[in-house]
Amino acid sequence: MSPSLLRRLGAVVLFVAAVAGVAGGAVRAETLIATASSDRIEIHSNFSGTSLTVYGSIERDAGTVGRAGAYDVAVILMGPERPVVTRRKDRVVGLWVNRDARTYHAPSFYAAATTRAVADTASPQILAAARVGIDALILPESVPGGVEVLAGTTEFQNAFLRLQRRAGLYAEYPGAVKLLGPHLFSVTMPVPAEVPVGRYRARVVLFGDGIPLAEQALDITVAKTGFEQTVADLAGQWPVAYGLLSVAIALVTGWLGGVLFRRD
Amino acid sequence: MQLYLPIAEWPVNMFVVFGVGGAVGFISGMFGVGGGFLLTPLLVFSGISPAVAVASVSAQVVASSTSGALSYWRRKLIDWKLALWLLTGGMCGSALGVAAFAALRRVGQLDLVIGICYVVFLGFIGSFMTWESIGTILASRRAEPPEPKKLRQRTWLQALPFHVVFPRSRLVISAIPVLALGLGIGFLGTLLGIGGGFLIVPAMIYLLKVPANLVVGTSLVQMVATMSFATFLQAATNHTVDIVLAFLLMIGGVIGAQFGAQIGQRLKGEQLRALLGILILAVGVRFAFDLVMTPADRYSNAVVITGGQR
Repeated sequence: MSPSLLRRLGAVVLFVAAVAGVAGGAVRAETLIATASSDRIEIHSNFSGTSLTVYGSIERDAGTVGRAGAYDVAVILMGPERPVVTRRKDRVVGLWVNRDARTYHAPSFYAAATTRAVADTASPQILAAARVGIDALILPESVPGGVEVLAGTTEFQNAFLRLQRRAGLYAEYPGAVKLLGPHLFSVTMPVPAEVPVGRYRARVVLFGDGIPLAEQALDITVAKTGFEQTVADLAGQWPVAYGLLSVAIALVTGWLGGVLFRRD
Repeated sequence: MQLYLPIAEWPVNMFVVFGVGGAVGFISGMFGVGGGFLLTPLLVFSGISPAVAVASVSAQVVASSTSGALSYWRRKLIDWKLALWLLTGGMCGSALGVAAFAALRRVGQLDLVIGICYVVFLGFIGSFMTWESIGTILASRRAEPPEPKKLRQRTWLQALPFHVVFPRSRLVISAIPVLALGLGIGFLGTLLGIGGGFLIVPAMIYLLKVPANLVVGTSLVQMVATMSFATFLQAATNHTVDIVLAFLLMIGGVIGAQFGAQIGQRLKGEQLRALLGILILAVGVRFAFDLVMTPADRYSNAVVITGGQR
């Protein structure tokens, strides 16, 4: 029997014990109660990144049998999906030119914080099923021309992930989730200045002995505020007015400059 | 002080942008050029996407050429009729440029085309300017009178139909080269995020034979109109004009230009042309390196543009 099967069997035994313990009352032995420091990240004019704190507690039924191993908690912050094209340069008559490309429909932002290294939290299969960690991301890929392939090109996928990590859009923070006593946890995740705007989802996944036990999702909005929002809304919703306004500002500034610093 | 640019969606140090605008303004005041050919690459190297950089610099070019055009207007050194013909071509070129810009960005070849254009045009104009001015400097060192410029007969230009009279410039030329020149400069200016002064001024002098005292003022008027149109189109169709970025560059540019102009007045014409030629050449060589040298990373990510939205 493989170790993962053993673990799974162990979980089943625990589960049965838990059910028996509360006389068939509870379906799950553990539940999560989590919340974020804020459900809205506001981008204002001197925004240079911020952080998001997610904290909560692991609730356990009175009858649940204690675990030998400690709990593991993973907190994942995911941005809205947006298509990104990854291009590769090749040499064409001495010049480096973008040739081949793949398009990925992937989250615009992905940060995973865990109590331990992601790989130590659970087996790769379980991580993939629970969608925890950058390696567990599903990356539907389309080649130029729009044909979608499910089994992607490893080379392009690796380049895509590497570039997203380098841009600060994808990150893993092993050890960032702190267990404060047996039932409380807390994590503070950095949110870089380049964070894309939109509706985010923070997922909190509780693992016990490598088995996902409970999950909770929180909605978080990243939005521009004040002046930044006014400008972005104007540019996006009234592009003609914004265009005319831009030209007017340029003409007036140029005219003022000419009058103020008149040299002749 | 950090400032978040609302359209570029990128935080910048306000004083750095201001300083870049000022430094480029200094150079533009010193040499009497727009400086777009320096500003756009500098913004791109500092992390702003080429799309936003090109479009925002168009707005900055409007401001800097407005100041310049006003000064020539007061001195009545503008051929309005010629400017009108040039900007008619220029606006058509600008519309084509915005369309080409969006199409190239979609297929991922925008950087390549911008790079090649910079290498070709900056390389050509830079070498010519450096060569010509160093020749003049050497000739004056040897205390020889500079060789009188041979005016080559351009019979093929004269032979073109649709002659138009430009009384202010004392010119009777075909409308075709005038419109074509405006079109070409409007197209390149919009595509590359430059005013194109360093292209149109020599072309007006050597091709159209416009009197030298009217060339700069007239070209500035055509630049104000063409780049205003380009800014409007970029904002309306590509949503890429970052007015906060553009405004910072304008302020820095207007102030820097004052100091540059004072230094420029102390230098001789051929010395200025030699320095400007070397500067233009250097930017061209920098782009050539990027095209030829093996990149540090062959891969690049770009957010796919869907519809009119960025």
